[in-house]
Amino acid sequence: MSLDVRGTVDLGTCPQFKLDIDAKLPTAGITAVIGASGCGKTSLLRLLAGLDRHEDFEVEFDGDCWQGAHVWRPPHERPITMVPQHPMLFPHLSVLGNLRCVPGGGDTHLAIERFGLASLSRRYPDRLSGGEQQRVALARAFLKPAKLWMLDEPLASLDPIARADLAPLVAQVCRAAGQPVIYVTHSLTEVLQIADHLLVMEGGHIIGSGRPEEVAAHLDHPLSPLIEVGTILDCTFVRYHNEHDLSELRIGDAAIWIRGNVEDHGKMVRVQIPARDVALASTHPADTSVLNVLPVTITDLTTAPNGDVTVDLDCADQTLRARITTLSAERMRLGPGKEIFAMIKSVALEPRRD
Amino acid sequence: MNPDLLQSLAVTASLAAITTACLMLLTPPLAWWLARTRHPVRPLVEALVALPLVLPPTVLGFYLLLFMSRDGILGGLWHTATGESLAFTFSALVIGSVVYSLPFVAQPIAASFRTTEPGLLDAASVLGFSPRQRFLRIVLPVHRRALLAGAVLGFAHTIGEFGIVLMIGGNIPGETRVLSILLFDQVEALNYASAHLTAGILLLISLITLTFTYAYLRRES
Repeated sequence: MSLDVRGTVDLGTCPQFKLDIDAKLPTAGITAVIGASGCGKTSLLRLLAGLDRHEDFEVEFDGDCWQGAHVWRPPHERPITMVPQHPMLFPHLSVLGNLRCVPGGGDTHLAIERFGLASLSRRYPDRLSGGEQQRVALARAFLKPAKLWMLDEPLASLDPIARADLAPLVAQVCRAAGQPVIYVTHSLTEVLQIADHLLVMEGGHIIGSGRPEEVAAHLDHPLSPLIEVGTILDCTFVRYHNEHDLSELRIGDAAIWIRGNVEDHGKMVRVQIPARDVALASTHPADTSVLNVLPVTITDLTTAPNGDVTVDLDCADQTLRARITTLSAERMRLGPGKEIFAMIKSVALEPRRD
Repeated sequence: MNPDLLQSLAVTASLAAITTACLMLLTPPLAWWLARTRHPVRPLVEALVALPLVLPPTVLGFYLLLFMSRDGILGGLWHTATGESLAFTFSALVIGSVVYSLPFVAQPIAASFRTTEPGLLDAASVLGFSPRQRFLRIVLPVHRRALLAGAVLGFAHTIGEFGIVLMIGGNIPGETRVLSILLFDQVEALNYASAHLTAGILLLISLITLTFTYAYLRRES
């Protein structure tokens, strides 16, 4: 299975802005498309859905041409489904009506149960909160039988409380999809825990594509709008220490401590570490308040124009990043291959809720 | 009540009902096209639809009469198909009324259609609604208030028409003599008592129809 997109589209929003893409998008698991607002994420999604007609943009899914030279398949004939940023419920239909109206849709009772809509099913969209509306929109979109699922910033229009409420459901549904999912967002934290593949867009181009930890590490650049990304590590959950309210995780042979009980996140926990919260030491620091000290090997050093040095570190075959000053780098005589210790403030570890 | 009045009332009511039915079949697709299209011919179509608002009914009636006479395009076709002439029949009145009342129905509906949230249609598209299904199952129900308003205006306006009926329908009792024509006859004959009744009925029908409609529209919103 493959999803090929190829073409240049003048989006007309401002004169220079063009979507210029030639890529094979992953068709397994969850692909997160991230980037700042106006980078072309939504335009890409609309092209895939066939909502914007651009003749010279080719889309081929699983050997099946959706659009290209002399081919145009309208959106309703594409095997897709999409959750838009705004719920867009049909105002004349009740919640149940909105679910039932999907042509060829699946079992509405199942959807009502799964999305927790039982108490809302008779209500009309104008009597629902924003979060409830988006919940119905999710249920409705997932009722349609589709080979490709697309979510366009499904949480962006919600207030923080509704977002926190709905995020786990979105994550759970995406993971259980069994179909390729393309999840567009400007917030990496929203998809960090669930994405199998990360696609970073900027100015109408795809500037990064790969496993989230690789892409995030690669893009941690002072000029990048994704500066807060840091690195992502996959850890295994060991146990929760009740007396200190800390969870013990493991990466390779080293322990990582994290506040709170993260047991319900499953065996694998993905943690995010901003590069600026990583300090380096040549020897194992004996007396320190920092709980997380990882033995690491330097793989690369890059000096940014502002004088910051970014140090790539190998930590049990995963990449960790530290950002330090040139002075520190010189004093410590850092160089590729050197084995040192990375100190991470425990508060800087943030597993994503799912 | 005198039989003339009852007869005219029946003609008027069935004319308005049939005309409204025709308009409600014809207008929504036309209004949807007008609201959505970027075709260069749109302003011309809009102008044609709006013409009855500004033209004297007699002008419109005159052209319709030519059009529906046996030498006219429609009248000729009608004669070939049915063996009868079209002008001065009830059918001619229906055709004339549809043309004459079209802007009163099309304009509020098109204005409402223009406010359609594009995201709603996109959502329907990706859910698998064909353009036809989108129109029938989303657009029409969403704009039901405008459809009702259009239908009522069309109905009320058809009841009130005079000039065009006179031009293409004549004054045939039981066939084309509507209430407004009857009223004219009664006044001409200085029969003011009957004229009062006819005028009163026309006034009452219009007032009641509009009142109920506005009450309903308010409740709906």
